[in-house]
Amino acid sequence: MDCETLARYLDLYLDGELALEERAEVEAHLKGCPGCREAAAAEVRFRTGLRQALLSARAPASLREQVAHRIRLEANHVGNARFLPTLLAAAAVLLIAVVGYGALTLWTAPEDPVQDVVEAHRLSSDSEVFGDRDQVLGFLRAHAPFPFRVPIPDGRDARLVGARVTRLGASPAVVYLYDVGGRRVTVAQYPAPDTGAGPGLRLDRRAGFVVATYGDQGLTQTVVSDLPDREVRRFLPASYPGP
Amino acid sequence: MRWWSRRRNEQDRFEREALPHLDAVYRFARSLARDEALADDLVQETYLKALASFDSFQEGTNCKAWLFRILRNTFINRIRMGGREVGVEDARELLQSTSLQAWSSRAFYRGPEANAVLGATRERLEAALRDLPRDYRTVVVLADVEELSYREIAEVMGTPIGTVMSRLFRARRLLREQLAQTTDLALDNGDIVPLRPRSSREDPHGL
Repeated sequence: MDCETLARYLDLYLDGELALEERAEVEAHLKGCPGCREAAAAEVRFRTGLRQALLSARAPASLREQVAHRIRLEANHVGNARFLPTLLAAAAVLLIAVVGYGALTLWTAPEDPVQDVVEAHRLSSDSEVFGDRDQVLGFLRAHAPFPFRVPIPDGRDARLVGARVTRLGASPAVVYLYDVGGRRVTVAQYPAPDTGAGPGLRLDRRAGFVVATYGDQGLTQTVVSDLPDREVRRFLPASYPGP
Repeated sequence: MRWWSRRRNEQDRFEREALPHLDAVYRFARSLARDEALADDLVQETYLKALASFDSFQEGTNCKAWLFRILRNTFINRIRMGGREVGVEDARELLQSTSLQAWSSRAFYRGPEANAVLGATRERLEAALRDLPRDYRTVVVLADVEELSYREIAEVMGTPIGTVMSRLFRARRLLREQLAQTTDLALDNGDIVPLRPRSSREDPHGL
């Protein structure tokens, strides 16, 4: 290797980018050539000086803190983002629950207590008392907040099996639970709004159930059942022609 | 492993691997962007991007070079968005204006320029580097200051290794020439200073 060739290889040599063989050739030449050795040494001095001078530049402490701070913030954010689907799902469930509850509250506002009765019937809400007729009536006598009237007398296949005292919207109510031939019938009874005329008979079908609402001697009754239409009639006062 | 402890581990690993290179990232940012505020911005953006894509970092490879690549790409994007792409044109101009072509490469290593760095202050070195076209400045900083390999520099800059080698060759010679010039200039100034006319009213201490 002559001096010109060495000059071409010196950068690569000092940068550590030469293969073993070439490196050996460069080193052999440097060993025997003081001029090139001095040139290489000067280059090393230059690079070392440059490096040491520029390496003394350090990131300001404020920048260091800011970076560390933002990394932590971002890491938390990223974590939340990963958790986001779960959070969103939870939020959606909550939203549905709130909206649903709100809607339910609206539907069951005092002007339409019927829906509450339907719900009570559908969900087969616990009565506060279960038992035979005497037990249920005993309970109602002690707890009913208004003069109640048992909707129908027990018959051969209709039995009063439970009752509870509750509120429908703003109104106090007594809810009776009948077993009619093995089917459930829920009758809600509450003081009629003081309109004098009474609501008359209204027949509905809600949530798959027959719903009859009528006024009778100052009380409104709502009957919800999974009975056939014809069977509902026995819960109506005789003055109503029935469905 | 639960998601939060995995995240915790990842963040710890990131801080362990990447944060120690903050000074180097800062230096590189300063060498890319002259504006200090922009450089600070670049450093922060680089770390946030690095954190976001830390799974793409291969353990055992040079984390500093990985951060540099993110930094340079961020910088280039910023420049493109700002519509100010500089460097290539003035590089050609500068190369033609120097006696670089005529230099014997062997003379280069023996010339007085090789000693120009000795005794030069950091400020003067930085000034000389700043006068280099950006890509030339970048290769010198990455190779001679941060000691990246040609391959790593090529990855940072998104260029072939051959381009890195030729840029590095020219950049080193340009830098030495710049330094030799500014050093002469500084010496001249040193001679001139005592002769500069003074106004005793404006400068009562004669400084």
